[in-house]
Parts: sequence; C-alpha cells; structure tokens
Amino acid sequence: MVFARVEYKKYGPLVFISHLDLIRCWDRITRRSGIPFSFTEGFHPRPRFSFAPPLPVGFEGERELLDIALESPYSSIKEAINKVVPYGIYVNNVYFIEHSNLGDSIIGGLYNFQWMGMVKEEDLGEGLKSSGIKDWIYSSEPLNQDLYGFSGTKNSLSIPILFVKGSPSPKRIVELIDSFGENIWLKLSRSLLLEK
Amino acid sequence: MNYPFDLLYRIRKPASYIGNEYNIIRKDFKDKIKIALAFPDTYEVGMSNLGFSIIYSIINSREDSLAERIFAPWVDMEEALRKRRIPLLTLESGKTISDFDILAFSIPYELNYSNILTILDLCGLPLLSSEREGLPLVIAGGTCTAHPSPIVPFIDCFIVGDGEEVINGIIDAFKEWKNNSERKGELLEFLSGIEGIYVPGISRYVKRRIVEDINTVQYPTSPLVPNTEIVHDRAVVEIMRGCTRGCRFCEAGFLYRPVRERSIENIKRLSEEILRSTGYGEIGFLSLSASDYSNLEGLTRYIEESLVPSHISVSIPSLRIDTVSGDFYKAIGEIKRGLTFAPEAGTQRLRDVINKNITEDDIFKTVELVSREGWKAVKLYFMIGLPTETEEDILGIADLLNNIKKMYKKIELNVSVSVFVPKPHTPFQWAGQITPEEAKKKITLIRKNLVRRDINMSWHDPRVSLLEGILSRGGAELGDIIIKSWRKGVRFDAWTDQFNWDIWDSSFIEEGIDFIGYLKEKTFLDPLPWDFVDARVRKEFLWDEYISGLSGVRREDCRKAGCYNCGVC
Repeated sequence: MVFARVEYKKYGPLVFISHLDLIRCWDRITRRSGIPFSFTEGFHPRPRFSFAPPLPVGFEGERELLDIALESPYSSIKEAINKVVPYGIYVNNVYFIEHSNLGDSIIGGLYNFQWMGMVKEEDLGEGLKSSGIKDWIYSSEPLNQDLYGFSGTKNSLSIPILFVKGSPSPKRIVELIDSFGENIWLKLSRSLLLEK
Repeated sequence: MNYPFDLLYRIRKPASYIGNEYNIIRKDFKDKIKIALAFPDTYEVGMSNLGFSIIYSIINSREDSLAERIFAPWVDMEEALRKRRIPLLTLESGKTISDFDILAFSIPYELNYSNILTILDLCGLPLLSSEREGLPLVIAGGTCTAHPSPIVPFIDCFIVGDGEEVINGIIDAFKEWKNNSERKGELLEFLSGIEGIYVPGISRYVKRRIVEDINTVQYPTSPLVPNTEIVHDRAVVEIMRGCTRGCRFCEAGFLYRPVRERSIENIKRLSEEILRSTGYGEIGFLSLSASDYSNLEGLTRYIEESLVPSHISVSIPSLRIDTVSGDFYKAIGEIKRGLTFAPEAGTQRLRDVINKNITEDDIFKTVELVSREGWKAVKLYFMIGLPTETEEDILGIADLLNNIKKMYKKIELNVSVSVFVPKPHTPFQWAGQITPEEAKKKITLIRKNLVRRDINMSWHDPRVSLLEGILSRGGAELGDIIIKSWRKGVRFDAWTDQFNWDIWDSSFIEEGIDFIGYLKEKTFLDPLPWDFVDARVRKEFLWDEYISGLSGVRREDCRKAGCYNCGVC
C-alpha cells in the first residue's frame, strides 16, 4: 500500500473545529477530490487516515500532517484536494511514502501564544515553573534563554511541548496566562511538528 | 471569521458560529433583495432542517436575491455578545440585520418561541411587530405557522404550508413594492393577496399552500457541508411528502397532506449530485413513512446496486421492518444501529383509538428478527394520556415490555415514554391533555409493574409537554406570557438543561391566566385559536375521525382502502 503524506495548514475559522470535526472534514474532502483512496472495512467505510496528534480547539496549525492510504499513486493530489477544500484548510505539499508512521515519528510540537494584556515576565517564568509545565518543555539552551531572558512585560510566547504521557495541554498554558490578568487572545498556533 | 477570535475562544461550541462551510454562497449585496434566514434553535439543529436548506437554496439561486443565515446563539454566546455589545451577525458575510430587507424565521417547534425573541433582540429589533417601523420585514414559515396565534405579536407576515413557491411570490411582490412605494402597509396589503400568506391585522383567513409536484420545485443539490457535527450529518433526499396512514394524534400526518412522491429517477439524480457536491459518505432518504413509498422496490434496488457498492451508507428513518427483507436491512447496516419502533400505546384497543395500525404480532416479529440476526437493541416509543386511556392501557405498556423481555432475555430494551400533546389540525385537536401530576402517576404505574430491572425506561419531563401543549393550543394572549418569560430568562425550552418551568409558571400567575384551561377537552362548537387557518383538511372530517377514534373504529390508509373525503385532494 502507498500513502500520500499531506502537509496542510488549518487556519482562519477552522481553528475552531475539533479533531473529530477535522476527521469528518477530511473524509468529505477526500471523497470530493476524486483521488484513488482506500476504504476501511465495515458498515460505514471511510478513507483510511492517519493523523498527527490533535491540535487543541482554537489553535492554528501551520504545518500539519496527514497520511491518506491510496489504492494507487496519483500525481496531482495537491491540486485535486485544494480544489475542494473549505476555507481554512490548504495543502502545501504532498509526497508518497511506503509506511505510515505518524503515530511514532511525531514527538512534539512548537506552540505559539499571542495575546494583548499585561503579564510580567518573571511571573510567567515562575508560573510555568510552579505549575510543572516547564518540566515538559523541550530543554534546548536557546529556548530556555528565550523563556527567562526577557525583560518588561510579555505578550507572546513560543514553546516546544513533547507528546508524552502527562505533558500539559497547550490550553493549560492559555489558562495559566489568563490567571495573571485579563487578556485578549489574538492568535494561538502550532507552527511545527517535531519529528524524531 | 465574523466574531472576534478571543470571543469565540472563550465559548463552549465556537464551531457553530464560524460559517465558512463548503458550498457556502456569498453574493454581492448591490441591487439584491437581501434575506436573512433565521432559525430559532442551535446551529446543529437548524442545519439539519431540510426546509431551511431548501429555502436557502431557492433564494440564492435567484439572480436578484440573496440569503444569509442566523441561528440562535447558545446562552454562553448570548452572554458574550451582550457583554461586548456585538449584535448577531450573519454567517455568510458577517453583516448585521440592518443590511437586510427581510428577516425570515423557520419555526418547526413551539418550544423555539422564546428564541425568536432572543434573535430579534440581538439583531437590535423591537420585539413587537407594532413597534418596528420600516425594514426589515419579519416573516415566518415552518410547521408552527399553521397555528400562529401565540407569536402573532412578533411577526409581520406568516407563510402557511409548503414554502418553495410562496418564497418566490414574496420576493417578486417585494421587488415590485420597492420600486413603487415606501409604505410598509402597502407591502403587507400586497403580500396578503398571495395564497398561503397570513398577515395579522389584514388577512381574515389563510389557506395552506400546497406544492402540487415535489419533482418540479427546486431541491438543494449543493447543500452546505457543516464543518462541525450537526444532528443529521448526512446528505438528504426527501422521497415523499405527506402521509396517509392517518394516525389521529400526528400533526405531520394531517398538515402535510396530500402524499406527493418523488420519482425514482429524480431520487437517483439528486442523490448522485448531492453526494458528488458534498463528499458525504452517508445519505438519508426522508419521509414520514418510507414503507409507503410506492416504488420501495426500485429504491432498495438502487441502494443495493449503486450506493452500497460505492461505500455510501444509507439511513431510512420511518422504514417499517416488515416491508423490506431482512437481507436489505443487513445490507444497509440499519439493524446494527438498533431498531426503533413506535407502538405508541400499550393495548390493541387504544392503538385502534389512535389509529396506529401496528399489532402486537408486528412488535414481536420485529424483536424476533433483531434477536435472530444477533443484534442487540430495540427502542420502543409510547405515549401516555391518550384519549380514552384507562389504567388497563397503562398496565398494557408494562405487560408488553415484560413479555418481550421474557421471550428475548438477551435483547437490550430501551423504552421512551412521553405525554401526548393534542395538536392543532389533527382529529385529536379537541382532546384534553393530562397534567404533569397525572403524567407522573402513570409513569410510576408503568415502572412499578416492570418485572425486570434491565428494561431501560426514560421519559420526557411532563412539564415540557405541558408547555408544548399550552403554546400549541393557545391564542394571541400568550404573546405577553412569552415576552414576560423571555425577559425573565427563558431560553431553549426544548433543551432539558435550559428548560425552566418556574419562570413560565410565574408569568401565568402575574398575567392572571390559569394555564390548566389550555389542557381541557373541547367540543366541536368551541372556537379554536387556529380556526382562521384552512389547513385544507375539512374540520368535519377531523371531527368525524375524532368520534370514530373514541369508539375505536380504525381507518385503513386511504391510498389502499379508498377516499374518506378529508378534503385535501
């Protein structure tokens, strides 16, 4: 079996659909596109998908991944899909792979938070530490500096989170930042999936 | 996105407010008749309503008009909008109601009434028709407009009956008026001349509009594909409108007469177009009674030969199991979902009274089939408080359930019990409705007599049925009650987690209205608040059916047994 690995964006209004909604959405996109996809068995046959770990509701996905099982290779998948997507999904790249291994190979994601409001940086750093969130942040030097090295107030944050049991949901970080005062959220996103 | 990101991020179901569905239609506002279609329930419910989808498609297919959508915001969204002073915006282009010529409600259910006021208010419009000057014109269609009195104070103009042709008539009339006049009164006068339209204060009566052939009116072949799950999340083809079984309690059974069928060729064409344009993997064939579709054989063949092989799953609500082969049921996987059956009453005598032509034998055959195929669950629906009902009939429900469970121990038996609400334009429109106290006694009686504990019985809150009965059977005096209760906070009365009887109760007390009066039995000579609506079924026929029912006389389907002269055809 051959798989199409689809790199796509989830943005705009569709940041508000859940992962289950997204699966249904891709189900219909795939059927509309006319590409030679392969079906699951059973009473409600569906395209065979394998998704990257879910995006939380509200988060834009700048480079999301999805594997679609195909009956046969098909050359213009990207064009076929982009012709039938709703506004809020757009395919940037498609390539073929032999084995679908998204479940194993994606180990984390880079999450970005942008808000309007006054949060002191030391409070934020302290909050991340005391809530235990910091323990789950991928600890490469430059990122640590980024977290603790700033001065004054802050209204954006980028942190990598590993997908391991017990790691915090990005939504907890939103709640943490909200706990420092009244904020208006401008944008939340996952800009990268970290591969093994 | 029409609402700010931060607002949507902080509410429970933001996906209901984002629009941007595949197949959405956005038009330039210049030189168009602009209609905002409003549905007084959630996005999930409204997007599952076929009538709403049909009207959206008809208006947008006209060069000279456009339609955009509004749904009732859930309570958390309403609170957020009020806090930030943001009005309701249409899902298509995010415009406010002041940009539209017409605000058109689709009202399928009496318990939606309070949400009409929420929408008017959040659009920035006065609640009372008498206090609104100029545009937009506020109109309403849907099942409830066949007994519109309680909401007359809020609506300028009602559409009664099938909407496909009337909506075009309204747009044409509106265009002509706009070119010649600015007086709203003249517009209303003009509209009142169209068959199927009732204008309070101008029309003396209204005749229900009927589309003669559903094959020739427009049907949405590129419906919107929601981005979030809705109640009926599938392609839909209406195979038949109307029903002639003549169940005496059933509003749809009388209000949608006569039976009009879609030809099998048309069904195939629509199915293929809709599946192609939406990418749905499931299709539903809609009707009030699929088993009565005269070319059921052709339909099942199409399903087996074309849809099943192309991996499309099929649902046929209201299909009686005894009318198709077990193999067909298996092929479409319907049994696996669990079979539903509505005997409605516990004894044959009472089933004869209500003219529900299901025998005990039919019920057992169904359960037998389910059991034989090795599937697990059966769901049965019953009503309590039906005319002539005695203790014996109530005990009959328990006996029936006990007997099924005794014979088929392994089958999961789910039972739903609701209070009978006598509906306008049915033979039982003169019948009385039981009070919540009486309902509770009857429910307790059933429960006490269930021998086995593993029968899952659930029931609707009898106070919800009480409110439904009042709003179905009342007159214009209810307008004040609805406003009062809405101001005190009632919303989404059809939702058990929002329903608040105490507020309604206090409004009745303040207005000095004894609501028990609405539940009382009526005589033929009593004026009915919906007498000015000619639903095309003769009142004498309904009365005759009522009397026949009370003495247990059954009527076979008129398409098989011959005409009873109900007046529709």
